[in-house]
Amino acid sequence: MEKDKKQIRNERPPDETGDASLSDLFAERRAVLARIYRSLPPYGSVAFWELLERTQEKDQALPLEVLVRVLREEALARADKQAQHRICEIIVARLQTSNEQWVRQALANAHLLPGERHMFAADLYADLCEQLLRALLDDGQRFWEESFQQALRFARKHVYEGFMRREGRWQKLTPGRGYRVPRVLLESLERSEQRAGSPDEQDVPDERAEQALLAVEQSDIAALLFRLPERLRAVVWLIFWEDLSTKAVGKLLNISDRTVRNRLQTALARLRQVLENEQEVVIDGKGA
Amino acid sequence: MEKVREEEIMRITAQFVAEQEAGQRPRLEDYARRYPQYVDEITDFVTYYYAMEAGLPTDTASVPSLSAGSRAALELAWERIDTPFASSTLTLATLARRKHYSLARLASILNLSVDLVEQLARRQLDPATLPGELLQRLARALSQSLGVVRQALGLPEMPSTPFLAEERAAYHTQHQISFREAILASSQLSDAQRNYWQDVLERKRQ
Repeated sequence: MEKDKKQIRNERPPDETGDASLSDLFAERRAVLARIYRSLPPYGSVAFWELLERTQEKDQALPLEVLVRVLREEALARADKQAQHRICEIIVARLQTSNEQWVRQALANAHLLPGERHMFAADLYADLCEQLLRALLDDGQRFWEESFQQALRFARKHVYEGFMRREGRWQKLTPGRGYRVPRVLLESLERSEQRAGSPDEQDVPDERAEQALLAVEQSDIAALLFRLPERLRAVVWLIFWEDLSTKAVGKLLNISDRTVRNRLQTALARLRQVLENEQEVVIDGKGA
Repeated sequence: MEKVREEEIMRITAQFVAEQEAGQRPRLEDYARRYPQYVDEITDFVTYYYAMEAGLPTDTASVPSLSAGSRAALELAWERIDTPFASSTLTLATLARRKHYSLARLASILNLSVDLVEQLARRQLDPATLPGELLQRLARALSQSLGVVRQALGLPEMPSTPFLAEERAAYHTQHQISFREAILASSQLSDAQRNYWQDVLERKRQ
C-alpha cells in the first residue's frame, strides 16, 4: 500500500499527451486507488479508524479519493450516519488549510464594509462545505474517486461564481493587487474605446495596452480575464500571455483574423469597464 | 452525455494542472490545438485556476482539529442537507434563516428594500405578479431550486402546474397587492432600485 500511495503522489503526466494516454493515465490511477482501497483494515475496526484519522507523512497519507470511496461504499451503503459524519469531518479537516486560504483569497479583493468580511467568509465557507458534502454523498459523481483535488477545484469554482453572482459583487471585484495594473493600461483602454468609433483604426493593435497587460502578473491577468465571457478570454490570453499573433490565434480557434481583432477590441473595452472603478486606487499607486 | 463531457474536461484540465505543478509551464495554445472542441471550457478553467487556485496548498496529509470557522461551516452545511422541508413550514423566512440571512441582508442581495422583503415574507404580495427575475434571484440567494422558492412564496412548484383553489386560498390574504403596486408604494426603495424593477416589469410585459 505504501508503494501505491507513493505512486499516486509521484504521478506525473506522460510526455505523449493525446487522448489515449490521458485515458491510460487515469485508468492506471484508478487501479492504484482501487488497490489501496482493497488493502484497508476491516470497516469500523480500530485499525480502520486509526488509519483514517492519523496524520501521516506526505507520501503515506491515505488518498482522499479512497476516503470518498469508503464513505460511499461503506458508510452510505450501510446507512451509517455516524460514520458518514466522521469521514466527512476527516475530509474537511484535511482540506482545512487549503479551503480557509481559498476563502480568504476569494474575498481578498472584494470591497467590503468594515465587519462584513467575517460574515461573508463564514457564508462562503458554509456554501463550500455544503457543495462538498452534497458531492461526496452523491455516488453518481465518480470523478471525486478519481481525482479529488481536481473535482474540488471545479466545486470551488462553481461555489465562487455562484456566491459572487448572488451577492451582486461579480463586477465590483478589484483585479488582484490593483496597484500593479498601471495607469498606462487604463489610458490605453480609454484610447481603445475612443477608437472604436473609427472604422479605419479599428484593427490597429493597442501596443500600450498590450505592454501594460504583459506587465501584470499572471494571477492578476487571470483574475481580470475570469470576468470576461469565455470566447473573449481565449483570444486575450493567447495573444497577451502566450505571444501568439492574431493570425495564429485565428487559425487555432478556427475564426477569422478580423474576428480575433474584434474580440480583442471588445475584451479591452470590457476590461476598461472593470478597471474603471479602480481608477483612484491605480492612479494613487496604492494597493486595495 | 453531459456528465461524460464534464468528466472529460476535468481530466484534461487535471492534466494541465499536473503539468503546471511539475514546472512544465503548459500552454493554452497546446490544449486548444489538442482539444478544439473544449477550448472555451479549458480557458474558463485555466483563468480561474491561475486567479484562485494556483498558489493554494495541496498537501492534505495532516488531519488537524477543526478550527472554529471550519466547525461552524461544516455544521451549517449538515444542517442545510439534513433538514428536509415540510411544505407547511416552507416560508421565505425559514429559507433565509437557514442561510443565516436577516431580511435586511436578503434585501441587499436582491436589490430590494427591507419593507418589500418583509411584505414578501408575510405573503402580502400577490405571488402571481412577481417577476421571474426576482424568483431566480431568490433561488440563487437562498441556494434553493426555483421550485422550492416558488413553493415558499405560495406558487405551484412548477409554473405549468395548475394551482388548486384550496392551495391558493391557504396563501392568499385579503390584503395582497401586486409587485408593481408594492414598488411604487415602498418608502424605502431607492430611485435606482425602483427604476430597475420597473424596467424588469416592462420587459416582462413586452
